[in-house]
Amino acid sequence: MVPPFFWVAIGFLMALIVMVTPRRALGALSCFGGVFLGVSAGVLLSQPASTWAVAWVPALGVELSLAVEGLRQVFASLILGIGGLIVVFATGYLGADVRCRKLIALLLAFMASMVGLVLSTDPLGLFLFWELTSFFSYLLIGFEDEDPVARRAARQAFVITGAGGLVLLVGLLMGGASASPAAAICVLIGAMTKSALWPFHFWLPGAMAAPTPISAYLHSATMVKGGVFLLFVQDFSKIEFLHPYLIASAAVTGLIALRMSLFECDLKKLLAASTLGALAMLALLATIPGAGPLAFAAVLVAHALYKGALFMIAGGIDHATGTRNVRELSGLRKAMPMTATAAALAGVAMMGLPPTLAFWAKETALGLARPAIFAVLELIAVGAVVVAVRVAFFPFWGRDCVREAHENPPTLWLGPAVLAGLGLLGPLLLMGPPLRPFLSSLATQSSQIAYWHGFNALFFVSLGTIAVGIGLAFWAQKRPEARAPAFSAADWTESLLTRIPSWGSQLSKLVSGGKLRNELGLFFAVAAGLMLFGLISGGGFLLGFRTLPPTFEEIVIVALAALAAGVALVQGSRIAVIALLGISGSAIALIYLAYGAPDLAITQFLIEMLTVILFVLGFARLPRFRSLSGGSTRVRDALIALAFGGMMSLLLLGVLSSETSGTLSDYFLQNAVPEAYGRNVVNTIIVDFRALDTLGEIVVIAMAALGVSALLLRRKSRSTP
Amino acid sequence: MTAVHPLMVSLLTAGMLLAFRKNRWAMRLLSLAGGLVHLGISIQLFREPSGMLQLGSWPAPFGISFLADRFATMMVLVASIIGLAVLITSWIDVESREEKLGFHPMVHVLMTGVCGAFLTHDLFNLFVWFEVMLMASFVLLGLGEKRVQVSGALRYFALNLVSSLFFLSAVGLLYGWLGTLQMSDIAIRLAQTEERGLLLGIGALLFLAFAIKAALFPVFAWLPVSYPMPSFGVSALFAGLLTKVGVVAMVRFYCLLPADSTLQSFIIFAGLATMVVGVLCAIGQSTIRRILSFHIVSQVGYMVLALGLFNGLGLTACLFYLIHHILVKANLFLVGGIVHRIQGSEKVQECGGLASAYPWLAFLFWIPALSLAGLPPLSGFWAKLLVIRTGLDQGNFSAVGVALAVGLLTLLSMIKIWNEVFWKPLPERTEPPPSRRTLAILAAPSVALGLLTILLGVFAQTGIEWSDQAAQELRPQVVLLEEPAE
Repeated sequence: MVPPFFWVAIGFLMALIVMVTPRRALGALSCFGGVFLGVSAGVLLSQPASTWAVAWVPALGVELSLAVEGLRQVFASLILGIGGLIVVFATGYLGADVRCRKLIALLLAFMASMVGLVLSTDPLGLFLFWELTSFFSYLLIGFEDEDPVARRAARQAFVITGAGGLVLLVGLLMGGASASPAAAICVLIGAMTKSALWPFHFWLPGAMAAPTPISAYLHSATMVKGGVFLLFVQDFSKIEFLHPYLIASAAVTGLIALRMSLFECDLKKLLAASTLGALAMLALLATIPGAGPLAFAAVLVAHALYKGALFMIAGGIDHATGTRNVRELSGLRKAMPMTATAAALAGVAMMGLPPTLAFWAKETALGLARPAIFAVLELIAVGAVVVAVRVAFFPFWGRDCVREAHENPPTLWLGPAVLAGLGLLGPLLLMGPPLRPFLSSLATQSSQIAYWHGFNALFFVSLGTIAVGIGLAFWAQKRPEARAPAFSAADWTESLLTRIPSWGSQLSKLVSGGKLRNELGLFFAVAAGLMLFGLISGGGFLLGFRTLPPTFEEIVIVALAALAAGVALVQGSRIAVIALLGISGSAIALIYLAYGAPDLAITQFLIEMLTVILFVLGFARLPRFRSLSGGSTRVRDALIALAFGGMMSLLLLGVLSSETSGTLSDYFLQNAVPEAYGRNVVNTIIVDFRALDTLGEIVVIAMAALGVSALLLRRKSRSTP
Repeated sequence: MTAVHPLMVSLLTAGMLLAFRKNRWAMRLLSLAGGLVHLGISIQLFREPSGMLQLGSWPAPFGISFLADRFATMMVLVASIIGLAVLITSWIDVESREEKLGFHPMVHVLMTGVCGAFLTHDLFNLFVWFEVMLMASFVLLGLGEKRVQVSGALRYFALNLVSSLFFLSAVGLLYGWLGTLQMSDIAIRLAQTEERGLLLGIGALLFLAFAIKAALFPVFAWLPVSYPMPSFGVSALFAGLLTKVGVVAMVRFYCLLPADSTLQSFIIFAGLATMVVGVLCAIGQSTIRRILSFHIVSQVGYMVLALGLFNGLGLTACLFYLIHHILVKANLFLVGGIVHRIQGSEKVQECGGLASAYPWLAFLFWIPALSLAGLPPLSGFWAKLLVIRTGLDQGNFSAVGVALAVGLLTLLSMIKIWNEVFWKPLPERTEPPPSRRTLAILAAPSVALGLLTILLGVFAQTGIEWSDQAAQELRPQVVLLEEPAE
């Protein structure tokens, strides 16, 4: 038995190997890799059920746990198998292109993530791989990176699936779909974005900007089915309150798919349309109680087989003729017989004709459906028939093609032929001995493995569907080009994605990059506002003056300081302003003196003198003094200043009103002499009790000096180059 | 190892470097050696956090306390890694003139300030380290040639000086009120006080001082004008460390306060507003460093939000986010430096074609970019997951919604850089491509930081355990219990 993590690991390992392979060996290696993956797919399918788990982040209850069982096993095997074919196809498709290696490495990495997604049983492990598939899908859609359309489509797909992924994360964190209605809605939204169900369908047609191998693999056979797979795994058949929404969404998606299948002419867009339909069908199937994994797996596998084949055929046609416009193509069967055969086989499957696997899958699904779902399923089936006829038959039949065409090398038609053949032989394989026991284990009461249901009503309804579809296909081929719809969700999203940056740009001009003075005003205003908010929400405080009433000389000093500051405001000359501020500062020094701190007072005096001198020296180099602010600005600034000053005073009064005990200063006063051996308490604090602060401040001064010298040296070196 | 060793190493290195201002290679080697020793000491300190240290053996709370707890040592270690990365980048990135004008000593002084701010347990001493940081970073900003650089530096200096003013005023008021500066002692006294008005009034001023440093909305305007100015290495250093020092101070201070629901919801609101405004502004920018600068604002918002959520895993989320963000954001600036070196421009319109020309650079970009946007399994995913989980646990759905939406917009912004700089065809090549040696030196630190981001994602359990341990030590009641006896 192979441990389950092996199936995830091989993809990543192979991607690494591809990245270091020399370009010459790439072709041989990818053919070998393709075969290896095909064999792996078979081996995986034959494995007994097993699980594997490792604790990842127990703190958050996250583990990596993989399980090989039932639907997971079928899906993973499908991913590996088609992956192998796609790798071979991509090698042929890109040929000598230098980007071939990058494409294959990315495809393999994506494949590994996708296998991880379907095998994961832990919600966050699932989310990990979910996001990885979104990311690789982004890189792959934008593979033609010189094309702005591809870049935009890639971005759109990533943003939509990324947003859905985040919503899904919330749903998973809330305990998954079964935990609560809110969680179920979150999971549903995540699944709908990934599986391109209306209203999130619009990114999928855009994703066709990717090279064909990518569209075939990611946006048809595998990744987009991750969403509906999640619906199935999370047991949405039991979450009945969401069924109406899901059915409505599927119905609208089906209508959109039908409309696209009639109006589009690009082979890949047509196929994308029917992919939308198939996804809607799978979503419906997930809501049917008792449908069981067998019916779901059958539809999923049948669709992957014929759709993968047809995508590769479309790529082959493009490669051979240089166009994908279905109206320009006809009669290719003579030039491309192998491709035509494969196309016919896949087309028959897509129309749901016996004896293909798709026929059986469709009949089973219809047999399970209630009337409302039945109608939607028929709608989707009509769309599928239209696309099948237009893509698999019209290009190959009819009058000879006007274009030069040649058969492609086997790498390009082998893949589709294998897939189409499997679709045809599928029923035989189902009946055969190796798979039968395994499949029986998937079956439920209501979906037994019965290949032929007989000529019942269902059969005739199916015949009618096919007839209507063929008729519509002929009509669609002749009708003139459709006008672009008035409203396109893709365009709307695109314009939103371009508008967000321009809003952001305006916002950033609003909140930063204004005048420095305005910023300063804002900072002080915010400070005053926050202090007020804090005071009020804290319930204010009681003012109680513990201090003595002010003495006469204190009043004089404070009045002097305030007067000097006030006069400075209305002065028109710099010298006068500086002198007045000097007076104001000196008054503060006088306060220190009055409170018995002569050393502080001396320091303050020195600083005031130095400041005045330095300013006066600096003024010589400054332009004339001008008043730059208007009246309203001054009023605003004055209000801000008053508010800030007022709040500071208020808080200071509050501090002075409250009792403190056992403070630091008491300790310093007591210990300065006995412990620090200094009679000047301030000095003992600076050089002993809190010496580290002083060291830091010395560093600041030194850095300032270095900075000034750097500025001066810089100017010198610029003037003498 | 004790809490002062990292500072001693940085300061001694800076001092010695002043003696070698003429010899470029002597400076570089000495500087690098200093960085390596610093890293070694930080690792040792992280492995065995040495706890409280009383400087000069003056008993607490009278002397200055340093506290090397799990939180501080974790931050010092990350800072040391970023410092070393930038020193290596500077060999290419910083012009020899700037080196001679004192680039190397300035970086080490900056590291002194940063580590001092992380390790100190004294509010006034914290202010001193803020000043050291401010002065060193101002000089680093002004070293460059361009005139516009000087104007950005001036704005940086002026607005940060306002923060210093608020800080000093608040410390003064607090000291006048409580009569103490040591943080644990402040916590004890605050727990006993009944005057909530005074507490919240002064607290608001102190919070604003830290908010300016951390660049919260609406007081972040100094950041986007100054960070894109100097060389990329210096930008990376600032981007990684400076705003985060503000956040660390906020965390420390918040943990000293008695629980208060008004304060808590206010901090949550500040975080949310910062996240939204920051990310919207970021998307609107058109040069790499301006985009990244606004993302700093937005990401700091996440940390503050997590701090506001606080209970349960909230504080753990905040600390884990800090570690993750420092590694990632510095790395993105370094990658931006490589882009600039190759293309000669950092305007996204003038760049292009890097994905096919330099595939390895694509890896170097995506690791931090996806981590920033929060994609699994990278570190940013776990950081965001912790925040979202806490929000859900506390029933704060608006916080969860905003956190997710901002994550998506962050992703959109990273997509913008990728689409323009890496995918779009190159407009016209003007500069000759840099030599392999140049690119190797520039890429080496980025590779190392990218590996650390991946490791922090893969071994998220360990990172979360560390953060959780640090958070448990920080919680007020624990701080009270660990109050050292005299």
